[in-house]
Amino acid sequence: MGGKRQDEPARGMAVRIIPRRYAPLVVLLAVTWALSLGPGLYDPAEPLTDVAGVWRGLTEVGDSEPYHWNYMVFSAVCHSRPERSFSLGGVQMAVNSRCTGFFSGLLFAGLLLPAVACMIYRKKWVLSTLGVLLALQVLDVAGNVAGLWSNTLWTRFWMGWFLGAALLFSIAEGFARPAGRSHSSAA
Amino acid sequence: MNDSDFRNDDAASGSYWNSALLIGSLFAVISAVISLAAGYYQISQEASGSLFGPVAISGTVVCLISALAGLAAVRNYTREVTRTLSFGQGAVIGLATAAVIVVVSTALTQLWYLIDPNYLENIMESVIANMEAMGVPDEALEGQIDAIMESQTLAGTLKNAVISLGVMGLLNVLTALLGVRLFAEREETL
Repeated sequence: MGGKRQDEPARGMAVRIIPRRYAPLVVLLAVTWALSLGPGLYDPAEPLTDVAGVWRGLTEVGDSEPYHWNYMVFSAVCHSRPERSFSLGGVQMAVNSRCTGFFSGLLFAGLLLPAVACMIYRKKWVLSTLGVLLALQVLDVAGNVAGLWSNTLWTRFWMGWFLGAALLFSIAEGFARPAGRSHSSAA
Repeated sequence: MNDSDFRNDDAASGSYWNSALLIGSLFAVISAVISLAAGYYQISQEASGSLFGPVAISGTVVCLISALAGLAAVRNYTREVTRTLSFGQGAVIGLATAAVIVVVSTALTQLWYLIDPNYLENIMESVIANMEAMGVPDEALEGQIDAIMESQTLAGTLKNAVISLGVMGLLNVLTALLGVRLFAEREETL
């Protein structure tokens, strides 16, 4: 990556969120996350009010209808294998555990962004962290496929979670600007 | 802002589709090849009781490939057109790339059904055999078969393509924004 790069901001410089970009982002991430929870969120086979049941369901394979529209929404990006997916309300989630973690991490980072923007704005270490996490994902999948180790629902969830959060933080510059500067209309 | 800025914007905006079409088509072809290869492999295997079998592995690869298309499209744009790119423009490139992937993938799949008319039938038999091996009740099995048949019609395929564009678009927008961060020069705000 050659050429002129934007430098890291001065230490201690305040960073503000751009509301008209940030608000749609959060809404989009929230809707996507809710959809990723699958049909169990709005049409559960078991009551969601049973907290113990919900927690138990996070480790049990639930019912699924692979061609239900909720699963088809994510069909292009996730295989949604039942044995590799959480279930909610007795119904398999729309994505596998890694993707559940990914979308959860995206949403978490999005909600946290206003609080941490000044710490991550244009910081190179955020990109480095993203690169490392992406490499770990590839290694995890490859090792599991090769039979070197077996990952679990929760290990995949947390790996996806950190990757999603790192990705969102890596592009924070698109939703924030240094305080005291106006937002360019061309951007 | 002067006239040259507007002219540059007009020329640049018209070039978005070049990168989106090129990269989107390329990624769609790669994804289709991987998916078809996995499909033929599944057809050749005995029913394992796992609904997706080797398709699941290919699905993971296809997912990663497709999600990175936005980043690749931005990279292509900054190399071929201009290095100056805003996050908003990058998001548009990502979304356009996702749309191209969905359209081209759908077209390639439909085209393959014409090239190998037995492929769809064989995949259906494999999926049904796996469902029976999983012990899916007959009622649920019939419902799933109906859903599968409906999804394989042209209307069903188009419907699924449209609804899958949402998440595919989101992922490619995010990776396109990452591409802007990595490869583009952003205009400094006043």
